[in-house]
Amino acid sequence: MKTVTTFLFLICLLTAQAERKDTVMLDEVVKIEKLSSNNFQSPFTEMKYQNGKRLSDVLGEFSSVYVKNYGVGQLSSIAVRGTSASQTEVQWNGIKLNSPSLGQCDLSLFTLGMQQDLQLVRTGYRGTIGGTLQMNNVLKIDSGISANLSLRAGSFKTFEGIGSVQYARKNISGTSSFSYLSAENNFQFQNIFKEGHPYQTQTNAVVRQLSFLQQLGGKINSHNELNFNLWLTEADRQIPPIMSKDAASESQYDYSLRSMLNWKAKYKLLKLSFTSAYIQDKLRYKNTEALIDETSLMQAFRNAFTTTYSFPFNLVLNAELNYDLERANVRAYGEAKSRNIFGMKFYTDYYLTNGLKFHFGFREDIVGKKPSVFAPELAINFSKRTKDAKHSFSSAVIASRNFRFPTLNDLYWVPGGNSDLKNERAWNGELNFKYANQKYFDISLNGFCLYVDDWIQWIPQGNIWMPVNYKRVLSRGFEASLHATNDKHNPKRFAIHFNASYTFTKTTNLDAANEFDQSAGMQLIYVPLHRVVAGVQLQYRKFYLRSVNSFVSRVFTSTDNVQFLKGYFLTDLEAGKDFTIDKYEIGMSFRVNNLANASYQNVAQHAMPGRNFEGTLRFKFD
Amino acid sequence: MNRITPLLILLACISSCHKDKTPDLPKSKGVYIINEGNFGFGNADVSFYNPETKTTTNDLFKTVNGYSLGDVEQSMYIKDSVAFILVNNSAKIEMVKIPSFQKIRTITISGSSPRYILPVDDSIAYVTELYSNKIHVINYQTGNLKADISVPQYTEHLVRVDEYVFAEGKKIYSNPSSEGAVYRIRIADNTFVDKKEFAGDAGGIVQDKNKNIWIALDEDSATNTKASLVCLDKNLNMVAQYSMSSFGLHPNHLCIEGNGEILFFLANKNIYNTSISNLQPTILFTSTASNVYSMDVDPANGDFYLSDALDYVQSSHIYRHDKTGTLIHSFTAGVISGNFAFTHE
Repeated sequence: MKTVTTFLFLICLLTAQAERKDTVMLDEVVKIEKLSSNNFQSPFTEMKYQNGKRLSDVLGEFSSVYVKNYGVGQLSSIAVRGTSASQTEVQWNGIKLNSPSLGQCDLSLFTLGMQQDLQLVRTGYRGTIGGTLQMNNVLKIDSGISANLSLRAGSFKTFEGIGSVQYARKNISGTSSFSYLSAENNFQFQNIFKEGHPYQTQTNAVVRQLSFLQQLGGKINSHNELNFNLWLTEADRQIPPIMSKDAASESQYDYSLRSMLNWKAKYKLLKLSFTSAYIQDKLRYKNTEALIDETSLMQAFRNAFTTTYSFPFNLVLNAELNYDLERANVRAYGEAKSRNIFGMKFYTDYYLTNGLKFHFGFREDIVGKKPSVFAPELAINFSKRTKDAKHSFSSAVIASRNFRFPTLNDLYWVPGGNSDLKNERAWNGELNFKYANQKYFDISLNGFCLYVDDWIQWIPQGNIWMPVNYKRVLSRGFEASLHATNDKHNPKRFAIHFNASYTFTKTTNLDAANEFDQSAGMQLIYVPLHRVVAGVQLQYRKFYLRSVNSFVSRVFTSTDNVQFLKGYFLTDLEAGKDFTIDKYEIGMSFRVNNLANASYQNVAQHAMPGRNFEGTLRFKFD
Repeated sequence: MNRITPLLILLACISSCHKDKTPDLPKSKGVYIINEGNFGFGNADVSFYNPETKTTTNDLFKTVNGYSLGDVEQSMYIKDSVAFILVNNSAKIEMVKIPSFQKIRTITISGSSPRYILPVDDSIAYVTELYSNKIHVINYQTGNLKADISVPQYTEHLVRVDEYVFAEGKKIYSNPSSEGAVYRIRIADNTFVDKKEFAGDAGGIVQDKNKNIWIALDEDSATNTKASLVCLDKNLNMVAQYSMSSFGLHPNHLCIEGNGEILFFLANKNIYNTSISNLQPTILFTSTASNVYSMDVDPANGDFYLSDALDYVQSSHIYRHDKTGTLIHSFTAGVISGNFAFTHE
């Protein structure tokens, strides 16, 4: 540990620079999709209406991204542009949260509202093959005291609550947030795996989740700033039986501790930032039928040192050094396993006065003693706005090389772990356009293509399952979105908002094992070809009526595309009213989820609830 | 909204379009192919292959009975005009009529993970179990669990010799001290009698024409023991043993031809055969399949059926060879074809 500390200190001295978060210009180029925030954007992505819900339950409403969900409160993950969950990185204030052993994050364990800002980068970004979901905590400076509380009760004995207090005075600011969620999830569903397709009640599905987040930040002087974050989450979940089984006795307990210390400094054109984070995930899985009671402990010590220098001639240089120590104590490994990850990123942005911007950079990691591929990234962005600022247009072309190292499970699981695995490598490309009429609407179109080689997949080898670099995958498609209103900037007494986004994702396997292998050229399993989200909101003064509709086309469950789960439509309807009394903002709403009582499966054999109701009360003191 | 609605309707139509096929239900003797399906996917089912017409019917259970068979079908046993289908991760046994495949009843053993079944009379059957060290005794006429027989480890295949049932005991990877074994159960009082343990894991158990038990055993690196074939009499006394000539052979899917004279097993992609009276396993033929997952021999004519699970997430490809190893036909079945069952009437 002493060696590690010394090394980090040396890095600090050598590189001495800036602000990890300050990548706003880069963000413009790679088309970060602002999913939601506490600042008003559009009623469909305003976080306050959904605060307290699981992130996995609302992501699909904010965006046309596909969320794979094993049932209410159960394992959920996002897959962006046909990539896998472990190829999608989840970040908290820029620090990776993906489990070192599994490689992915369970989004059902995150509560919306614990972070003030939520963004999705869909394209390969800074070395990541799939998308990057960013959850960011933002501290307000010198804004006094404010508080928020959201309480929600719903069908199936669901209770959700989230509260936070923000305090900022002079140079010190902080936020304390707490959330609670419990649900019986004893909903009725039609069981197509039973004779006569009877309706039955879900069992063994009780969920209880708690989380607490403490942020503290302060300005040390006019140049330096220090921030501390502590985030604790606990979840106790029963795991319901699959639909073809009568009962189950499985349960899972998750406990996560995430702490982060961040130092920022600003000296004229130079910005420096150093972040050190400790992430610990404990998972206990119990299955009384199979006589299993196992606890796994995953730890990650992640560090990032960033420096940004803005030259007066429109050139910005950004460099980042990373050191991560990952460790996992999993019974199937035989003994605790760990690995060191060193990373280096360098990016530069050059701005021309005619609206053109050039971005170039690269990333290179070393995991253990194995170097990653050299991962360059190139983007050209053009943006133009009319003199009266009524119309704006932007376009970008992006190309990048990306990679993913095997997880600790891939390497060390006994039996099967394969230490000879190579890292997955990808080429990502994107072309996007955006037009905005500042008063009435904006529309965007993205075309994308990505090619992944040495895709890691677990397959049986004799009597045991083993991960191998199995196949090559090509994914391509496009995304379109439209936001429209009768007037963006001067809300009238009657307002109408319309929001729609569509994603077409064609993701195919390129190789066949032999002449009878029918998977070549076929869509990957659990990647829907079409995903649509469309919503409309009618608003009169502070009353509103909102309808959110989503469609997921069928997903194949066999690689020869013979077996599939049917596509489904879901419609949610919400009515509410906001009040403002002095410094208090109060909101009430009533919502019907799955209005049409659709019977569907998102993942095979995992029942989803039909029509259900919820009522929400919100308080805000500012 | 008016513009988006037709688009959504169009998308829904596109996504739900598929062709309905009229199933060719079995009416004669043939081969039932047990498609395990993927764990958690609920896509297990049974295919039927008619060796005379070389035609296949897939999704037999769902087609006839109108609902999915369940999650991970392990095996199927045919007794006269009744078939028992063991659905491992759905904790149930479906009883169907042969050849109509119409359901007779569902036997649920709560909390179980059934693997193989062996009826011992007209109402009682033994069922081996993955998740616990016991063999279930069920009354398949009523669907009730009658008793459990405790055994040292989890068990797979069952064979009967006179008044005893012999169960194949399996080695558990997570328990290094576990061993491959044969357990002897007395039918009269449903009691575990005794056992014979081996260093390597068991890879199948069959009965020969002399009422002896044969078991294939994998090599064991901990004890430096090569893979072998072992023959036991019904009192678990060693009758014969053959050790493989080198390490690297992993015999599995042990089966025996109809006369109970010639043994076959799979090792890597090679199909070996040997006479029980002159133990000299030799390669009969080598499969061209990419991932050989299962093998069995039709006791009526000695034809081999091998399944290629390909990438394990698509329909398996089945190869049918005659008793000399010559390929007769190949065809597509369901996902992960793991076992075969034969009818001759």
